[in-house]
Amino acid sequence: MKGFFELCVVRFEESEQDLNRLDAAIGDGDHGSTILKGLRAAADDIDNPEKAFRKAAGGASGSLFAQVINALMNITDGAPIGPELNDAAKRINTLGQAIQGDKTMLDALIPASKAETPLAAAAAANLGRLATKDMIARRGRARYVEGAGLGHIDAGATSVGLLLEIYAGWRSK
Amino acid sequence: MKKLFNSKERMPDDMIDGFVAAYPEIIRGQDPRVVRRKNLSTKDGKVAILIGNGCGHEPIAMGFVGKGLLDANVVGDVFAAPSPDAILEGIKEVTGESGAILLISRHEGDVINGTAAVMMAQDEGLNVQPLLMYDDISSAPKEQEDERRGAAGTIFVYKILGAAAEEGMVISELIKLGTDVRSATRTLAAAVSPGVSPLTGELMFTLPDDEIFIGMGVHGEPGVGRRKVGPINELVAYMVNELLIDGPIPPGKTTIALVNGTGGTTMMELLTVYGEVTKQLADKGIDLVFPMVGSYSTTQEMAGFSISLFTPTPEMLRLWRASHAAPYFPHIDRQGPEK
Repeated sequence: MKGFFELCVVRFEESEQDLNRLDAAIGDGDHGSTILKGLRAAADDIDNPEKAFRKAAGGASGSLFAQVINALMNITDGAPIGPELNDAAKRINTLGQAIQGDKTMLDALIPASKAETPLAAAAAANLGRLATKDMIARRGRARYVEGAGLGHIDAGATSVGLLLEIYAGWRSK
Repeated sequence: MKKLFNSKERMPDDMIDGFVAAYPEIIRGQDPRVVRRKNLSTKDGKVAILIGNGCGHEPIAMGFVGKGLLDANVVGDVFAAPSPDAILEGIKEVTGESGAILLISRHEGDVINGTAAVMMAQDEGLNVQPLLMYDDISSAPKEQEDERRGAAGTIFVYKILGAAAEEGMVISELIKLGTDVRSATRTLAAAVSPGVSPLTGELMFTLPDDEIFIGMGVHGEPGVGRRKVGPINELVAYMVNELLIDGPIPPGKTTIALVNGTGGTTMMELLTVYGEVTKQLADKGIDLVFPMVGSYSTTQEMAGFSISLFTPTPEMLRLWRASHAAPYFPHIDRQGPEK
């Protein structure tokens, strides 16, 4: 994964405020900062970036996004990306009980897990992300707000799309 | 928005530095985010009681560490549950042969990471049981109580389990007791104006000048309903009515009220709320005893309050009044008729 987490840090630094704003509409407004904190720790820990991410990010996001990082680290050169992402989606479901359509990170991850290539996965995740705008939240803090987040894009789904986009760029180098 | 800190990243650690400096009976554990009693009696047969939670809500939960209350608190980042790894460190530090109960206030991150930590600890052979706490009636309808989130009323579970564990109650009975306290507690919150997130420096929600949110979450999650600002007695009447619809209390039943401020509401306002709660319940034949009024579970400088009603058994009431040494918990044992 040489250079991958460093690239993530650069890209999430650019997107930190946008992600925080998405989260502020229906959550507590720190999603971008949380993921960035985890990615910085992952970039600094060559031995176990997944654990470093989980510990530094903390919260539900730390444990749940660590599953995505685990999947990306397990993809071998030339193998399709889908099966690993699918496994990550299943683990996330076990941990948080969310399913597709609940307006969570899974609404980007599950469509991506049907793709073969990193680029196709990133594109599918992005479409999934946009679709969260019309969803009513059934998991996470957004479920408790007025209108359950209807009309707002989910910050977690957006981060999944961004991670997969960065991954596709990194792989194509 | 203005906020005082050295560095954003170190806010929780700098706060812990100050806390352990102020209260020598409480120390940092091996993990710098574990705050625990210096003299643990959990190695001598007492069941350990601990909780992991995001910080930014002080004095809960760090300020409730002390003899007769919590043995340890694992401190996460601001509004974020600690990682399972950090909670596991906390469990390992305090758990003796009689085991431990990890209290989990029902919020997504706390549940996910707390459950993972308990599984990791059990894999290592430790006798640790989780106890989910939830009380906010605005977060899920009646009959779906186990979908509700934890709010200020969880304080009753902390105190009563802490006191019972200190007296030597075994883990299975403690879990039963905690579950019964949970069933006897209901909370409803109202938010008046937003607090500032220490992470983003921004207001955590927006609310028109003449409106109040009902059902605001402890992280400043926008509420579920709005009301126009009006006299406090009208607001309290609405809230008490909602609480009693959800959990009817028969006349004459011993009841404890917790009026919790969320950080930016004055003692003047909180006591006025308590006075109204007392009057309105008295009209229904319910007499309140041994209350707790103050800002204990906060969300920075957010203005607002919650009302929790708890109907204890005589045994629960005795444990609620037991003495303790936690620096930021009121001394209920010193209330009432002078001895």
